[in-house]
Amino acid sequence: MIKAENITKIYGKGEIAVRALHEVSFSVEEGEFVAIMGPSGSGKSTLMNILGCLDTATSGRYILNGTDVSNMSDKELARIRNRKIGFIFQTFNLLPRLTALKNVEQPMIYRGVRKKEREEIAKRVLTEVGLDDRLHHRPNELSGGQRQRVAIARALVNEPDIILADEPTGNLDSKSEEDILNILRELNERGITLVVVTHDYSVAKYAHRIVHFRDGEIVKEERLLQDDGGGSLEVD
Amino acid sequence: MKLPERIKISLTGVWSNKFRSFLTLLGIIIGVSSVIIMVSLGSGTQKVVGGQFEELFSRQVYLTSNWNLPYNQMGELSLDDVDYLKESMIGVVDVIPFFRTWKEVTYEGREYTTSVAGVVEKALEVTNLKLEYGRMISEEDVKNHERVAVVGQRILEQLTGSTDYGSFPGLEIRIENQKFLVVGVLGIAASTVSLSNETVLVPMTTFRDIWRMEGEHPEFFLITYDARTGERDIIKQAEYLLNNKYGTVRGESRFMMSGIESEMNLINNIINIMTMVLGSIAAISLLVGGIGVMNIMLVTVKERTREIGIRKAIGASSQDIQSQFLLEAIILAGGGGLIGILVGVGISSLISLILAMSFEWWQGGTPFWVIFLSFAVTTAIGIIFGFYPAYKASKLDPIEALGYE
Repeated sequence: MIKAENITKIYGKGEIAVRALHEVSFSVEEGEFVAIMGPSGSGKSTLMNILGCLDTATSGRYILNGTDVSNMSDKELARIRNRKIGFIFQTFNLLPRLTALKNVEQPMIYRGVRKKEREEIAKRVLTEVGLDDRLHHRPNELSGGQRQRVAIARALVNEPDIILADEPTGNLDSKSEEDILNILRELNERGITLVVVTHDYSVAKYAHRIVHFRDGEIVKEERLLQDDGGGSLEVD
Repeated sequence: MKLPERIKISLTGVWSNKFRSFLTLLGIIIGVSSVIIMVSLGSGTQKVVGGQFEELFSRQVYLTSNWNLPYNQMGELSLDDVDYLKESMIGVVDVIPFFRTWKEVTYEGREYTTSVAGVVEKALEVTNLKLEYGRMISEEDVKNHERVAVVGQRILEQLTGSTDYGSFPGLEIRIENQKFLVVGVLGIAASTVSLSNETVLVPMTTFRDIWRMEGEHPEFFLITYDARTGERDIIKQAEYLLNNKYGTVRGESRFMMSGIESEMNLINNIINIMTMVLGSIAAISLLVGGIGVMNIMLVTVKERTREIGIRKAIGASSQDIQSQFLLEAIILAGGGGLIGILVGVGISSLISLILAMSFEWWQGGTPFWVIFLSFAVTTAIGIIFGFYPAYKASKLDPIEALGYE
């Protein structure tokens, strides 16, 4: 599904240049649930941005579901973000003036889906995340957990190849955190590929695999056995 | 992404800041409405002025005694001069004499003092007087020294106390105790020579019979000329001929002449200058309005940096973002234009209505072109002043925009 080869990212030029990623090779299989862990400044967010096509690597190749996106134009990248990637953010990033329903409709507007179909899909997906009674509420009328569920619905509506979540529970209380993580796990069980960035092990342990980052490099990968309740198996 | 969707997104943006949007629009609203009011009233004036000059024989020269000279040195026209000028001048079409005096007109004991003119049948068409009812003095009337009169409706109104103008022909009035039969009624019209709906016209011959003193010299001539000849040429010729015949007073002609061609140009020039001055004031206010749009769009882009980041993350291309903010600017400016048009048309109609009540000759109305132009210009302002903010928005880095608080 995701194949990143020798990704290097350097910010700035000359003496002030900062190397955020150094020759990182990383891949995610279809249907996998991967957590990326590391302290702040470790390069995990940079990798996430590159995987999400919000940023491009300074060097290296990034192949998303068979397509090389390393050298795509702004317009092509926008299209990839729209159709192949769903984002979930720590701060939810909903449009404050729009209702939950309208927020969820937005990605489909950019895809060119007709209004009627758009509303149907948005309603269905919002119902799936348990918000069928909150369709016409604005973000400020929703709790943190509800907002994140709207964001998940928004990430799902265009049926992306992969969902990227950046600290999805960072702003939530423990009850909501559990709800959201359960939803994410269910999605993964339905076959959706999931990459979660977090610094919280209790979040990361929901994944099949944890990739540890430090100073722009992968330092460790561990594979978790989810079937028997989270035993861990270390690989290199 | 289809245009209606884009417009909807941009409308939401404008609408979510209703009050601020309105304040931004105010500059454009004032600019556009003042343009419309100005053009409506300006073109109304021009239509009235131009229309009346058009109706009338614009190729004519007014010739009269030189009133600047002492009484005994002023030239006095004679009927012989009619033929003299007509035969000697090149390009002349006709020379029409007018006699005039002030007399008391009476009807059934009521009296009214007014100007009485002795004219030939051609006087009507060259003076721009308007015959409302009955007929004009005819060639026969002039030939047969008939006691008939064409009377201004204002006079008849005063004499009879009635406004049933149609019933006036057939009345018998007295002009200084001389009986005259009213055959026609003059309506409202602006004439270049001082004849109006408060004038009585009688046949020139009759006039000269009755009022021998005033009938000796015509008060003025109207000289009409053809299209190939200019006003200055006619004036020069006439001056030369009259100077030859009557001599000059220390080099100054005993007669004076003026054409309406030059007067008309003067009026048009004044109107044009006024339009230009007001137009540039309007242009400045539109410019200020445009800068206001740009300013508010820059603020909007800054405020909505996060929205831009979110939209980019969920699939908006730079072009989508640019068109969203450009459309917002166009909606702002164009919306201001529309409101300005409504306000402008409203106010100018109101003013027109008031003017029409006070002046019967007023014809107002907003020309269509100014409505179209206003809308086009404000839309253009939206595009011009919205382009930079929209460009700036589109170039925002989505990652930075998402992190923006």
